Amino acid sequence: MSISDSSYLATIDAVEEGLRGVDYLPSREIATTVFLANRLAKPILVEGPAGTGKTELAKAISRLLSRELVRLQCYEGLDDAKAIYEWNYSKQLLRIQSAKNGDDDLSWSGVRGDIFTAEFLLERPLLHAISGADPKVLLVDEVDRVEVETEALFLEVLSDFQVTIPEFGTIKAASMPLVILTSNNTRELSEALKRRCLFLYLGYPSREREKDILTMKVPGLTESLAKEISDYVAFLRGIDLKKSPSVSESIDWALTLISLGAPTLDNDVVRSTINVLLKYQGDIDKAIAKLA
Amino acid sequence: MSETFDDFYDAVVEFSRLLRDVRVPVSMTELVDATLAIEAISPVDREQLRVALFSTMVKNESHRKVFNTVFDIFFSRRSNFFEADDSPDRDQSESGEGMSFGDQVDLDGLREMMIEALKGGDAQQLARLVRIAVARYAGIERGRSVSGVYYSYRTLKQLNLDAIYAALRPEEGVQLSSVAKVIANDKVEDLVSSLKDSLEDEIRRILVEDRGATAVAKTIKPTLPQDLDFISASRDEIEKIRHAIGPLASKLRARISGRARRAKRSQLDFRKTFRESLRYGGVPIEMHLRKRRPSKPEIFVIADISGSVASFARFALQLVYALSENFSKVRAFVFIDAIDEVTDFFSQSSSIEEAIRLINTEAKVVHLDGHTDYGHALEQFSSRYLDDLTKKSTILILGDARNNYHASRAELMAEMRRRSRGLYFLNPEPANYWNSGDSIVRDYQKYADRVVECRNLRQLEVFIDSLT
Repeated sequence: MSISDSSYLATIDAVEEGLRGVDYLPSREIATTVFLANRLAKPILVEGPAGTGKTELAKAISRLLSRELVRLQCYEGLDDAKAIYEWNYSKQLLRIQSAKNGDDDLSWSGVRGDIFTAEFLLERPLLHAISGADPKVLLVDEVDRVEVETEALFLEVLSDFQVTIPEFGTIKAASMPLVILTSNNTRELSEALKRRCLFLYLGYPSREREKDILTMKVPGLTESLAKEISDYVAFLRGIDLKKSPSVSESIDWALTLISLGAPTLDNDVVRSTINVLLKYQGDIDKAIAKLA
Repeated sequence: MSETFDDFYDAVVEFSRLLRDVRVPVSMTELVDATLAIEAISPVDREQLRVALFSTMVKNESHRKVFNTVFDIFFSRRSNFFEADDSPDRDQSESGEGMSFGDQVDLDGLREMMIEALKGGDAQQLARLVRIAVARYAGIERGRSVSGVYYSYRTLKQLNLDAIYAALRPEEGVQLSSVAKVIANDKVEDLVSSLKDSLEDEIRRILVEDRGATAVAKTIKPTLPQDLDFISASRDEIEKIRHAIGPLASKLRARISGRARRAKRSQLDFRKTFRESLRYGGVPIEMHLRKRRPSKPEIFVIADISGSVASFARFALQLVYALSENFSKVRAFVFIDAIDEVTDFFSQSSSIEEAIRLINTEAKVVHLDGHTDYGHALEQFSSRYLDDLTKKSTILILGDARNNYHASRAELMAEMRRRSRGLYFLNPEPANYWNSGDSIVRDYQKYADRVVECRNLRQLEVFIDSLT
């Protein structure tokens, strides 16, 4: 039971090529996992340090399949009313009030049957992702920010693609969304959630892949400078820093170097622009010290 | 094709058993997913199989290394599962042609060719050369139940690793900017580690061929970072542990501040809701909830850094460092037979190494003879810092409670407990050694909320989970 029959997801090679076509350079592992997620109809749990393209992956998939991207940003204190659905309380009250004044049916069963219908339901991202005829891509961003208890809210949607509303019954997915969850791993996610997902870790890319990403994202970047940048950034990630440079930061750095017109990396260039790459003074000092 | 699938099912079940043996949990549903994934891919492609199994069975990046080791052993290149392989045809090289080629080169020649292969990134050639090197220099004895570390060491020694390093580094004469130098040296490390990987791969292949995958996996028994023992851990292992501490520290914050429980739903602010409802003719259209005040917990960490717990002390300081990034108020104290506050060392230094160096050189932790004295440390703590403790403070004491037969002064701890929100004692010693010899866990157990055995991250996590 695959999620989509789209030819873009038919084989691993097709996924790889397709994602590249929408400006996302997948590793073989990424392509394989996306392919499997579609085939097994399972969400992907994407973990990894900030700025390695977790959210970007979801966006790329939605571009690839031309599907709407539904995004649920998680935060502490997120609850079902914000994540799944909410009864439109004010509208329900207005309905009752207006019934008092007008000649609408005010019998108990009439009102009860009326105010708990779809008209009074506010769709939140999770419900929205499974309703409607067009299939969507659901991105649950930074799922590690919600409390363990709240995670349980996602389980029904993630494994059965349905939402149960007590007054209403169960809403089954009209179309199956492709689901991506991202986590910065600030806490361990519950077993129940992890069991339902395929796991994908997006670490820092290999030198080779980072070089390709840079050439793709930064127009006008020469092959040799891209290589130097990716090598130097790989070196920085190897030393013990408070915050290692992310891919998005190395892209920023490449853009800076281009606008400065630096043809190659040398000590002066690195010294004057390293603040684009590293955000803590201690880290900058450390990197500069290694140059001496 | 369909017959081989059955073999794959059996193999995957056996594989999951091996993973469980090294404490990577694989649930029943995950196993089922793994078999479904295998049907979707082409399992004879080794890398596809690796991703399919990893993404379905392993849900934690810190398990990757262990997973890969078990995978490489179990689905070793030798096994008949894989049809096409990127390595050159083995039978051919073993049937004589490869060996005779190997016979012609001497040790120096072999090293030269390896260096060329590394520089040129020629994996096939490298694998071929490594095979020759292992056959010649590893001296593998068949039938012995060993993990192969020694074989790899012996081969590298013969090959002379220093010479390889020297040859890979940029030549002296060439003028390079320091950026280029830094980059080049970094690459050398990568190349050497790819040589080592290739070597281990080959040795493993021979071991598997000799004794079977399951037996080899059982001897190697890789350890997950969360199972490494704090006391006996090497420096490298402590580094591994460090990377796993971050999430635990933020979990501890969540537990101690109790945010998780209170965040559920706040109470209705009746007054405000009623007042607002007057706008709508007494119908409470808008609900107002009471605002909650975030609590600001404080942590006092008191760590024993004496020689008997040196590795543990390093871990303890890493924990403090991780905590200080998560709590707004962390105060750190270290002691041997005198106590000193080291909070500032952490806030001043940009890295954990620097903080540890400062603590080792500048903290005043020795009073008389430099033998651990909990009693004296508690005494000093009470006289200097007792007034700083409030009902918001949680105290964590990290140490083995081995007091060299000094007085325990446990009554001071009782007072510390009374003034604070909670006091926990984390002990890196196995619980069955407690209270033997000069261990005085018993004295402190009376006043601490709990004394917990904390020898590895797994136990630390259990402790954190148990805080409510």
